[in-house]
Amino acid sequence: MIDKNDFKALFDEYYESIRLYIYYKIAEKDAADDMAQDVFMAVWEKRSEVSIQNIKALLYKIAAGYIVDYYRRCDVKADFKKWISCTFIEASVSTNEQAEYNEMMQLYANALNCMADGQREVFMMNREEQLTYQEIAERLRISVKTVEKRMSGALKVLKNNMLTL
Amino acid sequence: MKRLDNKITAVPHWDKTADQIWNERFAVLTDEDGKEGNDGQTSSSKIVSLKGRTRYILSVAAAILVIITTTAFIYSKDINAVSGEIVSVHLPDGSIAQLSTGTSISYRPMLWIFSPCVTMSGEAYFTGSHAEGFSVKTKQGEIEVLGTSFNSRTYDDKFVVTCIEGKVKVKNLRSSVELTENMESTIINGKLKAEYVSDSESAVGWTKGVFSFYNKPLNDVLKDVARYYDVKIEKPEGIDTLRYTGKFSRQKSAEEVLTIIGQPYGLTFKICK
Repeated sequence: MIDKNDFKALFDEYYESIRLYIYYKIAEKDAADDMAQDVFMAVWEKRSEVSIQNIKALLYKIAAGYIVDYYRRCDVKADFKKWISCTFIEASVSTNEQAEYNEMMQLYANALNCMADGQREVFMMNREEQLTYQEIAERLRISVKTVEKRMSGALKVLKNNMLTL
Repeated sequence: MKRLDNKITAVPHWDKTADQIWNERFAVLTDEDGKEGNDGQTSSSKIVSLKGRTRYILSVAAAILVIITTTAFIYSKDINAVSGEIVSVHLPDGSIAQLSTGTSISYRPMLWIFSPCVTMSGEAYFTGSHAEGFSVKTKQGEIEVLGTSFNSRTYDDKFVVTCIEGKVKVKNLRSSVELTENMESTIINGKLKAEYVSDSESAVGWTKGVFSFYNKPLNDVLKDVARYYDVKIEKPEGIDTLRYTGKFSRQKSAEEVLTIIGQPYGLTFKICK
């Protein structure tokens, strides 16, 4: 049983993560945002049945279910090319450097596209959100060993794609 | 090999922050949703025997009461706006409802004091004091008026409420939302969504005799035109993704209007007879 205050706290803590998680899987921004809202709506509607202890993993589980539905509706391959971006911290970057960055961005997107779903979600949770292996394992309800294994698989794919540079 | 720089990210730039989403969709949820109070069941009844005259008077009074209440329930005002006209309706509380083409509303004048309630389908613009507040019922949901002016449209499966001024509350079976100025709620398939709109005035353009569209799907624009002139429009293929912005008078003929709309896309629309 959770009330509105619990729900708000839950939303504040996990909404960003959940929409990112869905995005890691489907590489669609708007659909991910909509789906994340549905996930929280589903939790709200079931609020009398859920307990605050295991809610973190539940959020990810509901999200995973919606993602499966999504793929059933539109069977498309996730493509990260259009979302990748680069912020330059230095004020001026030479065209030469810019070209280099562009190439690197392409390679990075390629690497993400090549990763298996399981590898990519773990890799991106770790890299984009700086979550620890322990935290990732708890959220996805898998063992830390599995996280490590997927991570090393993901890094291998990354290396293969980036080494051409 | 160069190291992958930390500045490169695959995370997109979200249109809305988590806070904005909370305010638009989740802030309105209340703990009480769906829970029904259970009271008023405790009054015990007493059997009283009555004699002669008193009994006669009481039964007559009861009969009259029954007749009055039945008429109150049966007597309802139904107003329909037929093709090409806008009808203004004065509601018992002094507020005004303007009905667009093809809209119908009904209410029970004699019951207004007890349950101020209007049933509608189509599109209507409500303005006025609404001091006591009434409710508008549609197939897809209900509006609770909290003193304001607002536009309500129900076409196809969509139920859209645009708040121009003040405050209204929109609810369906599952959820409810309070709208303030420049907010718009949409119910599709029982799902309620609310957002800020930059063009709330264009929602009521029809009351001023103009068509006013702001970044609207071309399909919806054509539907509006077809409804207003009561014609069928033949649509060319591949217009599903186009969006239209424009403003023009409703005095023109349907053909003229379709030429205006088609021009920027190089399209011509035909009216099927």
